[in-house]
Amino acid sequence: MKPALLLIESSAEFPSVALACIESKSLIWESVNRVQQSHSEQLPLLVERAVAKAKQQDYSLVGVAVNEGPGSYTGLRIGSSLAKSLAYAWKIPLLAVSGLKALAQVAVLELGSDWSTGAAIWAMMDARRSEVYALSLSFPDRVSELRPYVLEEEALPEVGSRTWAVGNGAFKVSETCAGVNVELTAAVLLAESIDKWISKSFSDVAYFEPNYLKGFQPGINKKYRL
Amino acid sequence: MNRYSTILGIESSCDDTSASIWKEGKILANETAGQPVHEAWGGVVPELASRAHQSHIIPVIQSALNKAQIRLEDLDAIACTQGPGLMGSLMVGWNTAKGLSLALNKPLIGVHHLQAHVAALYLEHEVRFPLLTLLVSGGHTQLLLITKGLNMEIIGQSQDDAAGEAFDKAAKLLGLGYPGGPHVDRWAGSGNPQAFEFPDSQTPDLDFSFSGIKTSLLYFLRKQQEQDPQFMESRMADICASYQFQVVSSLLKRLNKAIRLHKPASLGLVGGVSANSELRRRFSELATSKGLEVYIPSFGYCTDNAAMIAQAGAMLLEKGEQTPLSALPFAR
Repeated sequence: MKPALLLIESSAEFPSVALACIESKSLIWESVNRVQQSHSEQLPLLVERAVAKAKQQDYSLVGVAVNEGPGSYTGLRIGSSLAKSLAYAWKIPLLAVSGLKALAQVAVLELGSDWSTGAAIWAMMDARRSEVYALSLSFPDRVSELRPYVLEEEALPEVGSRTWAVGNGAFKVSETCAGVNVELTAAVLLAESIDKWISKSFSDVAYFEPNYLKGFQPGINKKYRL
Repeated sequence: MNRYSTILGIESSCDDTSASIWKEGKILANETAGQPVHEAWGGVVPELASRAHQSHIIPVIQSALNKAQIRLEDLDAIACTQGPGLMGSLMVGWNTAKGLSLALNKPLIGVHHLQAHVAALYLEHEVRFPLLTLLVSGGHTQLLLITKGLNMEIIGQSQDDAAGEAFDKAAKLLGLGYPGGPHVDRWAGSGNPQAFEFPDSQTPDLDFSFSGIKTSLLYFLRKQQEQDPQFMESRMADICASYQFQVVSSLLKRLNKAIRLHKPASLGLVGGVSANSELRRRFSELATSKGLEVYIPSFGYCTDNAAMIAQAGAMLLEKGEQTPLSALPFAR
């Protein structure tokens, strides 16, 4: 049996699951469910199909990779709860992958020969109002810190004529950055996941939590105070 | 003999992450991780609860397996709370249960949290039916009439706050900690329950209401503090005793009415508020005066716990029920 990784993406609109062949570093199978907010219902079914597919093609699952975030809190909860329990029960490593970093790397492939000195790509996830969660990848391999940007208050730094944007938040900077059309699905996690597998960068199956990117500060209820 | 001899129960509907191992009718482990993170806020903060479940759930499951000396591979089924509860919290337990069910290729059974509170009664008692049960927790206040097993009817419930919330909110006003019940109970022990009078709400039939008493406490304290800024401090025990007395009276008044109407063979008291000493004492007194048997589960099976989930799961599985992997959790 050939070793394969199970890839799970649940941070964005549509849940998706894929299988990656480690030896050939290639995609074996992927399925995206095109119904919005269907993660809780569909993600386990997609995993079930992936498991059947792997078995049928004589692959053995040796690791579970999941997009660690940021993204929809509910989506991240579902994806990480599933990924953790699968890795825990199968006793195989958990690989937490930065979805936006993986997305930037796949966008580079799309750019082809445009990816040269002076080029940069912003991978961004749409947050509320004018906010995006974003990181940039500058030629050849400099990665900026992943953080939230409120675009009404702050322009993206270092945007030049050869800066592209990718991801479901890219439309918010369409005036300054040309878009690269790659959707963040499980297949996008492939290269990052295999790199993590090879370098043994495993996450803690017991204690892993998604990268929500934002702490949570509850408001104070003023109604019932003396 | 159940077809499923070893069952993992998982509970994550509110702020306790719990896992239990049920084997042939016995609870081998019932492990719970609480979430101190909410104490600073005087109540459960849903987003924080969900995040804490995420980091607790696998360790709690492993701890239950270790304690029971059971391996994951030995499990015959996974039972998990499907609802009602906080959606973000449920999501973590429910999807963990789905992942385990899928990976181990063992059936998943979704459990209704309130039915499970009733199932807790069967862990330690041979129950006589019909059984009238008062369920009192931080999230629910209900009167349930159980004809057998998990066949039950809600014959009364709170129209607003749960009894546990009435204690939590009072404790918050009084500057006591969270959860409020144990603090109010402790202070009440040395106070006079007749010192002050708080009103009972007017509700139809067997329903409860606890939003009024909490507001009346707020106005009462405001008024008294105006006259004497030391009032709360100096009369804490009497305030707690009087308030607790009225909350318990409201509960027992409806219970008494339900006994007259439905003539049960026995009484059950479940949910976290069943730990309240005044409620336990007067509940048992009422039962004795009516000549009814009383079942109150051990405290660990009264609060939110996975043992009751595993027990309810076992009963449902025995009836041939299973839950598909596509099933959604439900908040209410």
